[in-house]
Amino acid sequence: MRNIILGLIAVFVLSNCKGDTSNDKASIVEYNEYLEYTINELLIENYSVFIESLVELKDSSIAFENGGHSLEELKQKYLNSYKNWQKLCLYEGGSGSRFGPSLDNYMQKYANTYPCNVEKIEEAILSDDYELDVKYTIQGFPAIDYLLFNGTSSEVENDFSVENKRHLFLQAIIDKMIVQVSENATSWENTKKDFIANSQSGTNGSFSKILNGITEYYEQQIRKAKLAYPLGVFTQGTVYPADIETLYSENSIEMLSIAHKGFVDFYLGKNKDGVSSDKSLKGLLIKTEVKAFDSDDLLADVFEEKLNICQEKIDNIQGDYFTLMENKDSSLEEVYAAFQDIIILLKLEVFTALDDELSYSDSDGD
Amino acid sequence: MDFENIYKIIEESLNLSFGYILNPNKRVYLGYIFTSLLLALYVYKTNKVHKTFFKYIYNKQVWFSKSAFIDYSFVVFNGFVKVIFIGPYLILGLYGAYYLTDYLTVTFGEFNSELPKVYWLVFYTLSVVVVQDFFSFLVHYLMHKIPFMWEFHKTHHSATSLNIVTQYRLHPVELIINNSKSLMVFALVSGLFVYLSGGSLDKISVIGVNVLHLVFLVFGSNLRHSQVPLKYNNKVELLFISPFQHQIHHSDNPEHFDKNMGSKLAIWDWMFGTLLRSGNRGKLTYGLGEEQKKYNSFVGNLIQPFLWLVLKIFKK
Ligand SMILES: [Zn+2]
Ligand SMILES: [Zn+2]
Repeated sequence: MRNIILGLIAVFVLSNCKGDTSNDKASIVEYNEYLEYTINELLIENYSVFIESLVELKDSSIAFENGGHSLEELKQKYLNSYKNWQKLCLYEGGSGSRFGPSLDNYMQKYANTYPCNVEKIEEAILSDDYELDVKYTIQGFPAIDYLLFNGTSSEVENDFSVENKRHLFLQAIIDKMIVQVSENATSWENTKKDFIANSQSGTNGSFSKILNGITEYYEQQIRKAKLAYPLGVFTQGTVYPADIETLYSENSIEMLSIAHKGFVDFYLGKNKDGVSSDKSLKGLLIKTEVKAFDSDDLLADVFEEKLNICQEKIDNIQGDYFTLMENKDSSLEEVYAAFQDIIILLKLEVFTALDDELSYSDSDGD
Repeated sequence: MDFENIYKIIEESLNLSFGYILNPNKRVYLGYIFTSLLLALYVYKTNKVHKTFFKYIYNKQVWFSKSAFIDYSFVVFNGFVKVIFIGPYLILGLYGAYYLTDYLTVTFGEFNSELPKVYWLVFYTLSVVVVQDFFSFLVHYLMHKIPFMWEFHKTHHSATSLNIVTQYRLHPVELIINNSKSLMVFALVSGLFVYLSGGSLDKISVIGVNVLHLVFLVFGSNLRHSQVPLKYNNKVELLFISPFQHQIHHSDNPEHFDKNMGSKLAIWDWMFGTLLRSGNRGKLTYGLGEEQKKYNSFVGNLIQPFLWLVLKIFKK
């Protein structure tokens, strides 16, 4: 027996001499390439697209006041920039796990706090100081949604023509978004070098911050805010259909679809030309060679498949989102179930596959 | 299964068991061995031992005994058991925790806690240690009280000399039971706390090395299986199990049977009436007494419980 054990030790020592081959996790170089690509090709790009569309929205709001743009044109600009926001906001992380400049300046508060507070909006329009630094429920896209879509087009046009202050307020809240978002865009330009350089794999590394951020974002902003909360999942079944995104313009399903698609594109590392990259979360996951629990397939592929299934379910939702919420329509319950599948894989398997520090350790005797 | 896979499993298993000394989650981590040595030095000084400290620690009869080689064999063998039968299922603990949080959220609605995260962290850390410790005691207690389980636990008690590796001398069946217990407790406590804290306890705080557990590791849990009789103050031993109290647990003196089954805390033994404090007990000898000879080989330890089972079934 002694000889067997000594033999085993010898084999082990020798096998380790030829270098460590068991390192499945991605290397520092790969994390670095990932960060460089994600920040430069995806994040910065999304910022500039969004800012451009915000400026167009601002111009349109001025043209609308001067009679140069119709309400219809303004609405289109609004929807366009809102859609671009859905693709950008992922790069802030969730409220408790923000990364980069969003740590100090969480744009979500100024751009997409919903439901908006209609009474407070009307109050603010008549006041001299809007207090946009603290009153999050009177600004951002949800407030514009109310201003432009509350009633028929002629009713809305009439509201604007009766009270010129309405134009000023609309322009002020668009300006506020431009200010907040530009601040972060500049800040990213100044700090991205350090952020990318921090490519260690541990909890303090930039990759881990992004992974934590987008996970909470998915749970909080996509699953909960856009669907599960109004559907009553977190409130013992009491539904809150009036708390949906775009209550007035009724574009909730499209916004949900775009936001989710943004997440899928992030996973695949799709750039503005729609080309995927291996410097993506999926790429890193493939390198780990980890298989999904209870499956012979790679976790990277299983996760992508679940994302696609979910996207399909979202795109299959038919009808008015408010009414579907009220009736707890089964198509929404199905999307919720698909969200759950993704979150479970993301939080339990993707995390453990990519982070050494997060593997639960086995026990022995006492 | 092809050759490459077999090679991978062998490599992973050996890496696992030999990697313990570099893994801060394990008792035999170099750092804890160092702190244990300091404690041993303290015992050496206070007990006025008449040999050099090196000889005191490096006792050939302990480290090269037949019993010790069975310990070493179990470390290696259980490395394989872990890689094949335990490792792939560890994620079930996270699954369990997740489903529990989800179940509580859907059933009772979201729990809005006003408490700052740091409080939850403290409560969680305390609870996980206390609950894990209670279940460790309970499972150990049952292993001593239920004949079928005792057969498997005998492997651990058949050690006739104790060294730090003896803690890994466990029958694979006991190893699997212990891991199932840990996963279950982890899932219950983490799931509940993630729910109560409204998600403010993140994965890092839930899985990271538990500070309290660390204290036990640093303060000589290695000496539980050793020749170093580290005792605590008589009153302290009502609350915490000292290394010597666990050595009493291994004693082959019938007066010491089924005593001190706790892991960290002594309160469970106290409550169940199975606590023995160190006092003055003279020199202890270890093992299974009369039955010992059947357990003097690695294979004997491995198959005895199954032979017992077969006999039991035939007698009926
Ligand atoms: Zn025992
Ligand atoms: Zn023991």
